[in-house]
Amino acid sequence: MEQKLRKPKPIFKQGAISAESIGVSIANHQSKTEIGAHNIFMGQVRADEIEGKKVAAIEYTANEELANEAILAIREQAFEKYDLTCMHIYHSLGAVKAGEICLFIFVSSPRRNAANDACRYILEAIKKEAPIFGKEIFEDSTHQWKVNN
Amino acid sequence: MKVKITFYGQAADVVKSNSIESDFSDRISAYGLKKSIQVKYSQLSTIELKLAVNNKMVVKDVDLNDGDEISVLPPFSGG
Repeated sequence: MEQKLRKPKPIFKQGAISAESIGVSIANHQSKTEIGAHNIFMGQVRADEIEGKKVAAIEYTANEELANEAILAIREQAFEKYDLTCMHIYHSLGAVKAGEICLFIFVSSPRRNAANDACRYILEAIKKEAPIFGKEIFEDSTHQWKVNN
Repeated sequence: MKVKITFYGQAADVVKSNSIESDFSDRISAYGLKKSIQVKYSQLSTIELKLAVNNKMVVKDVDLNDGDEISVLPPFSGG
């Protein structure tokens, strides 16, 4: 059973991750009664203002094969490090408008500490290790490349 | 020796192409290729580039072979 839960699914979704799909994902866990704590991280495209120009969207591209492998490795490390029941990770590809969700990390555990710690670990590892690239597109259609701090 | 070079993110922007084929008369290593790219496209010399050869990240310099596919990866900015 545990192996089945841990089977990875494709990470990338074209466009924004909808609030509806996130709601469905939460509802799907109500039958898993061994879970006592969920931790969810959602990355949202921020309308940064740079030299008077506002970010209207971020367009994501990736080396999908390498990114999927990197995130699969991160999943496995997280399962080894923390007592987790299941984990779901989705990242957008293509354009995501300001205010929309571009990253969804959903970690479930019997206990809160494992869920909290694992979620943060996964987020930081994805930002550092997955070859995904964000192009910040301004309202006037010019762009700059996003930098992760 | 022909290799296919795929540029990602900002690197594709600078090169104005996602993918090129390069022909080398001599053997070249992954880091040698990176240097030649940064000489040709000076805007890339200030960016920290990572390479992958046939979708394996290069952590230590390797010699390239005919037909290799190289990914040129600028700093990651997912999330």
